[in-house]
Amino acid sequence: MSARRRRQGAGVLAVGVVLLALAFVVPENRVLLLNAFLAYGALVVGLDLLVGDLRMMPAGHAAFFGAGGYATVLLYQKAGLPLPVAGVLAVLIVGLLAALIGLPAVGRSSGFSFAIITFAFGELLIQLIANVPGFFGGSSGLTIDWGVGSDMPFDFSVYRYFTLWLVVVLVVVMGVVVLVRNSHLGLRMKAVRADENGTRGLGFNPTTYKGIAFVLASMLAGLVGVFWAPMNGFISPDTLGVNQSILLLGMLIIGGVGRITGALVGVALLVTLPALFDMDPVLRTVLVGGLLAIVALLQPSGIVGGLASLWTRLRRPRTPPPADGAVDATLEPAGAGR
Amino acid sequence: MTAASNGAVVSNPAVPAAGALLDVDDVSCVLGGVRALSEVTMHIAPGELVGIIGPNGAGKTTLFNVVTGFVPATTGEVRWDGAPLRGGKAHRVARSGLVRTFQNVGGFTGLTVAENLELATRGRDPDAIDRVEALLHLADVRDKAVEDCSLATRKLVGIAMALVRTPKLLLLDEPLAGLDDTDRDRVTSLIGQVHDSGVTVCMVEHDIGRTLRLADRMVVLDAGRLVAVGTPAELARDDVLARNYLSS
Repeated sequence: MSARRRRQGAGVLAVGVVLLALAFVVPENRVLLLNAFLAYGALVVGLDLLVGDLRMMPAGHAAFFGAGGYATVLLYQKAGLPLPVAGVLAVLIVGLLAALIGLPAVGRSSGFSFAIITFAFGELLIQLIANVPGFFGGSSGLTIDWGVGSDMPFDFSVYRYFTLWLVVVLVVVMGVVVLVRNSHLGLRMKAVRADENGTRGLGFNPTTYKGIAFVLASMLAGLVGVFWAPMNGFISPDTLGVNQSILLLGMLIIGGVGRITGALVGVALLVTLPALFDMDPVLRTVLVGGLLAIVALLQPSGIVGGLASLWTRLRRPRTPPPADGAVDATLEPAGAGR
Repeated sequence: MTAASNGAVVSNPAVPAAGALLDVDDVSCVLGGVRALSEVTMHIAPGELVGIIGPNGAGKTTLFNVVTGFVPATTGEVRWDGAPLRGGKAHRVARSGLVRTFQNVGGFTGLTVAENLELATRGRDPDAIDRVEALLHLADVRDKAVEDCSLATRKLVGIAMALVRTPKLLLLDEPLAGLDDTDRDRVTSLIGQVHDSGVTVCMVEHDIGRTLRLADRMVVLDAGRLVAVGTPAELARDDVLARNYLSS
């Protein structure tokens, strides 16, 4: 397990170095697009802790991203806290919110109930923001003036400066996911995914591990929001909506659940490519829907999952056919004919 | 031996209460309107190997589910190690040393045999893994994914996962189901070795012959009711029991 952890950790660092280099060389008119890739990448990789590792389908993951952003802006502007302190507190607040929602939700994670409860949480948050405009800025959102812009390091623009931070966020999220997957916690989560009653029989409470994963994934989403809101200088309730949550799920399912590369490929396909080719929004919707349908029908393990299966098949040594009359014992089903 | 309400012969199910590891007293269980267990009383003493037999729908697995906290008893009481298991949650019961396997094949898919055993020990006792791997001859397949193992090996993985947790009482739910004769003999022999190593065992099984050979005492259930309790020899001497329940 430790060799795998070292290999995956090295992979995460390598991706971080490449993205960091990209932050320096990407043309100014593509910086925002890179930032979107990094932010969505971190969101989808974090979401995979629920979908890939536990087969839980939250329909309100974007709400925690938005909650992180709103909490940062409010703590900075209304409470007057320094931005780093506001960010740390925002992530903790998101964790608390997730625990409050998570306790009743994860115990009923038989798919439908969990999705409905998380969806309801997102919609509740939107209504709260829209109906308390004095504090939350209402449906038009909140702007943030964090008083920096002219003295960026490396003479970076504000957006490019945030690229560096978003690279760090993505590397942190990937690192957390790798650590969890290669830990005893990850082993327990895989067991819960395979057979909940089996884990109870071993003395583990599946609800505990679902709860931990839910809070952790939500805090990672909140962390992205902490950087996204100041980068944009603005946050609105649209960020929290179910459309965003479904888009995040779509990216993950199309790219391939259970793999960091799957999440990143999904983001590249549904966020980066349409923007690079200036795709019409209607066409983009068709792309998302079409790819989802194709993947669901033909390759439920996603594009990367499919490619990995193909690679495994190609690498498997071909065995010559048995000589006439010979029976390959390995092809006999267990217990057959005895 | 005393007569049961259905006319069959029942030996006295009581083992001295002070010595019992598990007491099931007058337990009934209604599931979805169906009476799955009806006033069942049985006891398991430390060091015993108890076999539970009976036709499909007899309530054998329901009894395991009640005892391990997966399903609550409707009436009656289960006492584990002298303390009542009222509303005990399954994971808490398992942590207290009452460990079970399931009818379906053992081990969690997506994990290797070694990972399954590491999971079962909570990563705290690598020596136990080595001991159990040696006992059940699993060392050669430790790095294999359980879904790639044979059915017999997966059954043994399930038993090994229970054993590495050093149970006070091991409940085996149909450990021989689905196996061919060779593998049945192998798994039966290994269960015997586990018992000989000092583990108290209770197994639900449809393979009457092998269970009779292994067990110190037998419990016969039918339609949720206790039909008979006694040693294999006692049961075999009763013509009605032998005809109705002991012929495979």
